[in-house]
Amino acid sequence: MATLELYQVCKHFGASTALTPTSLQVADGEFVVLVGPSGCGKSTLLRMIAGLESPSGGEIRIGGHGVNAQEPSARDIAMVFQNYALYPHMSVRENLSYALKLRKLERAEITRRVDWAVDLLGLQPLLARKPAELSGGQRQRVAMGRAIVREPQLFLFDEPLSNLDARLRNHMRVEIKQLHRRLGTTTVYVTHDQVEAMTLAQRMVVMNHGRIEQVGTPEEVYAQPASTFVAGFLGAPPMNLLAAHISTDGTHVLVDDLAPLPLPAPQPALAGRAVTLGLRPEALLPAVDGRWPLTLNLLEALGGELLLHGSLGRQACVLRVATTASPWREGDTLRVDVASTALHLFDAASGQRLAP
Amino acid sequence: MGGSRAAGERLPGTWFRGRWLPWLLLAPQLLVIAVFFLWPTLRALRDAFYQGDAFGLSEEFVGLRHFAHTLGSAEYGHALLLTLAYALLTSALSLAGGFALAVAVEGLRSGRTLFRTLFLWPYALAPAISAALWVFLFRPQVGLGAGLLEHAGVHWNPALQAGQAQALVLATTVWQLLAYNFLFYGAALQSLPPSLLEAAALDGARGWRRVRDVIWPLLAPTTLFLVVTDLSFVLFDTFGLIDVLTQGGPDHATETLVYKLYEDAFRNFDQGAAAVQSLLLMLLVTGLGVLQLRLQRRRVPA
Repeated sequence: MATLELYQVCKHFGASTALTPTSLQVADGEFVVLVGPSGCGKSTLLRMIAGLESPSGGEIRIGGHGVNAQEPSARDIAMVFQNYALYPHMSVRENLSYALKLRKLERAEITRRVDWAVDLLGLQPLLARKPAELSGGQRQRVAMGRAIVREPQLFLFDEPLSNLDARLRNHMRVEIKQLHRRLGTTTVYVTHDQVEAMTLAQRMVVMNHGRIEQVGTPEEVYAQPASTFVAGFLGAPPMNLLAAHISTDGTHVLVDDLAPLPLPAPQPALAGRAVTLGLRPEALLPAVDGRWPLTLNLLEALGGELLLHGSLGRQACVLRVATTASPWREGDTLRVDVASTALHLFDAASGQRLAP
Repeated sequence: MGGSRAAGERLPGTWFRGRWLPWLLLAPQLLVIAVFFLWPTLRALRDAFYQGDAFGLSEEFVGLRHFAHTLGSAEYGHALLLTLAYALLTSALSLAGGFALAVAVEGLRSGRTLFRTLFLWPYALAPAISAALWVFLFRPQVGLGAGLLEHAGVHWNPALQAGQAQALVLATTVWQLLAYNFLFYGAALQSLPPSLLEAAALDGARGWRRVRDVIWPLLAPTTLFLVVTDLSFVLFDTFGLIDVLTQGGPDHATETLVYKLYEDAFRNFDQGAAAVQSLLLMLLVTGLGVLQLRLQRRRVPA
């Protein structure tokens, strides 16, 4: 186990920038998830940590030692690839032991470690098979086995669950979490799936356009998104982002010609400014004497809860209501209230968080 | 290959009302097959069992006499062994060389395209033309290669020295096949999933271990294909090359099966013997083809 430190690490491919200078500290034993849309630089960052790409600048340290000049195999890391990358011509046992053989470990030690991983992941019945004879979930498990037998300082996961169907994905997610709990190995996990990120991460790093938008625990990032990008990326359905502006005395926020919404605390510095008002779908509550009228366009029943798609003023908006049967119908206009503590304000131009 | 349907099952939309149209479309190819394959084959089949007189005026049925004579002759045995050795040696050398070059070029940081282009050139030449190049290079006294050999103390005269003639044929064939194998190995290398090679890099497989444990086994299907293609090239398509280089000489030292067949048919005018030899050669190529299909089928599920 080890710490991982990145100092001003960046990557250019020719004239295009995949990653702007980025710094990040990962504590010993921590599970960090890099999350963002495709092309946000998260995979590039992971591949540089692995040594599969070399950074254009900056320094990467594992366990306090600079590894920029080290070969991937010398970094004492293990990586699980999206397509598993198992050797198709080797049996499961050979796949698991290959790296150990290359390290010239003693035969008894190799057997001990392989048996341990096989036990941990339940691979016993698969040992003699070739990867082609395994299902997706089994291959995934073998790929994890190949990583853990090396007892590395650092685990790297590159979208490991993307090729699995939804059910299996949930199952393997839990398994990865349990594995981390048992082994306590420092882990960097890359995904574009916000549910994976929220559930697995001790700390998540939200990335966009080759830079870090926000770092924090899933709770922090969800409760206090640093930008409209983060706000819109996390949560399903995502946060409603409404064009608005602050009243001239800095006490209310105005959306179109709807009734003014009082701010939890006056913001004199923002008086008169154009802002983006962020409201989570669950922060809008239907109420008979609610402040705002909402015209209902579409209802989605998800079993335990209901999604109400409608328009507030001239802007589209989604509500999440914890109820099974809908008292409303499409086309109805209902009144909604806003929990004033639940509002987020972002700069209309830059998208950066303003208050509270 | 994989998606082909069972015979007789019709794909939707490939229905022809007229019976003649499919045949019309097939006709050019069928004609070519009939004229250049079926007719000569039938002719050879017949000739193998008949003996004509010297003027081609009469023929008599001789049963298996040609077969017995050919298979029992020391010359045929010699040509057969020579051909096998020639085929195996050239295939092995050009496979190993093509693989090594492809791996080396793939590992280059820059200049890959340049090397790929240069190494491909020999393949673009017809065998007879590349043989002509080698004839110029290795003509005693005047050739550049011959000069170098003389300089190195070799008394170079492939027209008299059997071993030298064989080496010359071998080198020319390998040179040509190498380009072909390089092309296929190069393409196969590029189509390997990058993550597999990255996994190997993370596992610590470097240099020779990486090639031996990962790349070579992953390219096994390509190797299988090339073994059969190389062997059939050497067995059947090297006539022109040998004809230009050595005419099978000196004293039959480079007379392979296909060259001996030609000698017997067009120099010695022994139609019966030539027919028997061409049938045997055809059996050989058919066997190779069947072997390839068998091996490929066994590999496909992986």
